[in-house]
Amino acid sequence: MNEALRAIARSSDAATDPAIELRRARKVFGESVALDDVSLDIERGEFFSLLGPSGCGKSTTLNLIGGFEAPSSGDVRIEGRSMAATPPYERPVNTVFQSYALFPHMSVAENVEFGLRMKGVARAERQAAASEMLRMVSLTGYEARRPAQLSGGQRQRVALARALVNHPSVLLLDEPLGALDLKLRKQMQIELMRLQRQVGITFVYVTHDQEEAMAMSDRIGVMNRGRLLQVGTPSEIYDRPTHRFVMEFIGAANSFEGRLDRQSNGIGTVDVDGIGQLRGVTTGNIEERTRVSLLVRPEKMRLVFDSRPPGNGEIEGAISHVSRLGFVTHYTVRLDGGQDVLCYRLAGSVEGDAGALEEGRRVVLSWKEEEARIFPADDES
Amino acid sequence: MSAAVLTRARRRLGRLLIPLCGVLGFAFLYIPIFFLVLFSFNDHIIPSLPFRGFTLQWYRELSYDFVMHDALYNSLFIAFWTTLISTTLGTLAAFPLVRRSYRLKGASQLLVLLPMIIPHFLMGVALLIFFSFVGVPLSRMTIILGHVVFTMPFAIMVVSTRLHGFDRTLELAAADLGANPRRTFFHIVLPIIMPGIAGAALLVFALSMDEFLITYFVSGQKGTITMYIWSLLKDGIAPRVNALASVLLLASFVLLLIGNWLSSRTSAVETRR
Repeated sequence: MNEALRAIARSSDAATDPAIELRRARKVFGESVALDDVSLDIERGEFFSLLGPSGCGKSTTLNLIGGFEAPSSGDVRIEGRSMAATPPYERPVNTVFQSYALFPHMSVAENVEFGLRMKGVARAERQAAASEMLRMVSLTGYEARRPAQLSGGQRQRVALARALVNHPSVLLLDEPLGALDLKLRKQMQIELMRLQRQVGITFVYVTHDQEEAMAMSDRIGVMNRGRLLQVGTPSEIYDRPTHRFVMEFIGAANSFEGRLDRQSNGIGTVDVDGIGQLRGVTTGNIEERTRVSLLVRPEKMRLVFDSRPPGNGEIEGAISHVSRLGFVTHYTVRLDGGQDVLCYRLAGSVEGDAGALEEGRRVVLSWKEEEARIFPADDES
Repeated sequence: MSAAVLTRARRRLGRLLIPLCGVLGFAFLYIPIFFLVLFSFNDHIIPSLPFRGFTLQWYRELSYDFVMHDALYNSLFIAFWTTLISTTLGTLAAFPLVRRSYRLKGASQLLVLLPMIIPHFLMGVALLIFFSFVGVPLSRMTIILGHVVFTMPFAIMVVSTRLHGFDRTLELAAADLGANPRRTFFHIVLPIIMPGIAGAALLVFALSMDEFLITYFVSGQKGTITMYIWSLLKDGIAPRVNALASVLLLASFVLLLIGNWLSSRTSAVETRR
């Protein structure tokens, strides 16, 4: 009874529909598949990032949501409504373009008011709304300037104000910080997060910068070659990647190639070529005796200066390079088989003889088995 | 003489020679015009040296010359309609020529610009034959048609250049902000390409005002200012022509300044974009 009531409430209340739903969306340009069967729900009020290298389909996804391109097949829904027949100028979304696309012949205020003007909002009302929004992005006093008279960061904020003043259901951001220098980027990242919390609008943020995505997002969707590989919180994506590509694109990883010997309870043992047996978490269904890659993040590696022979699941080598980056030190360890392995340690956290960090010193590397991940070797995604 | 001395000498020569060439070049361009204006104030029936004294007589004569007034009115009438038609059609034509991709696009771009290099003499003859073939009586309308034919390529070219540099993301942004295609055109596209359209209009107006050959072939009863000057010259050089030419020169100069001011004002906005 209670359950049935709740179901009725849910179906009658449109507010429970996700902000964005992609249903098996596909986009083909001539021969090439830009987007391959992508299904995705983005919740209301979420800061969602689409992350991937250039050409992975993240911008195409954004264009499908914005209505600048139509899907070859599949459907795009915004707050439960299919957008198949809705042109961009009737969609409840607004976009911050990579190039900002401010109208050069209009003042800052006219730019910000444009959307409201198109909706037929009265002049006094839209002026009030625009100046309120400009205050929010700290551009009060710049109303009369032309875009050409602003700095990159200021233009960026005008573009944000111009989109947000319309109170869209969803704000799309296409690499909006790409043209800014590093310091300004960091500053704008914080400002964007603050704005998003403040206005409570769903943000869909496209970027190829994994740090940016990790720092800002509630959830991240990682894309490559037109496919959506994994969707999850930043820590899920980082700690439990489902694809080799995800693990290597976000952060660094050492990889060991070999054959899966056996697996039980999600832990696999791999016969690594020229090294011996190493253990890690298996991802998905992998047949035993097939080729696999075992990946370990450099900061998960334990580095021990020790004269004892390596035990089970440990590997041995000699330090070939040390670079100290302040609080963290990067060690490159050359294994006896010739492979280089990266290992990051906090300064002073290496166990054993602390006075012997120099190159040429023999070390033993190890990791907890749940911190290594095993992927099929043919996983090219 | 050492090589160093030689290069220094050569450099000094260059320093003198280059400005000299410049001065000569400008002299070549402007001395005829200078004398034209000068003799419009010369107190003698034959406009030649020596300068006999300053007079405004020829300008006064112009103001009584009702045939000239008629011709000037005709020229302005023709130039006005030519500008309106040619600039409008040229702007419309520029959009597909720049933006659409279709079969034979390259060929059509060439064909559209071809009238620019067809000699006006040929075009005048061709138009005359055509008009008599289809039975259109010669009038100011046939002159306007003739002028549209030869000025439209210029209009297309000027507007196309502007359209080429147009950032189409701006149209996406307008659509994103709720502007349908019609409003996007009037609020975004048209204002941004307006300097190009204005430039095209100025050029077309100037071309139409001083066109002679085509006009000569396709005009009916009513002549233009260029034809009037031609008729004056047939009876020898009259200082009235100098006065008229000086007035027209002043008008062109003002037009040029306006055009320059318009384009510098808009490009100042753009370069800082």
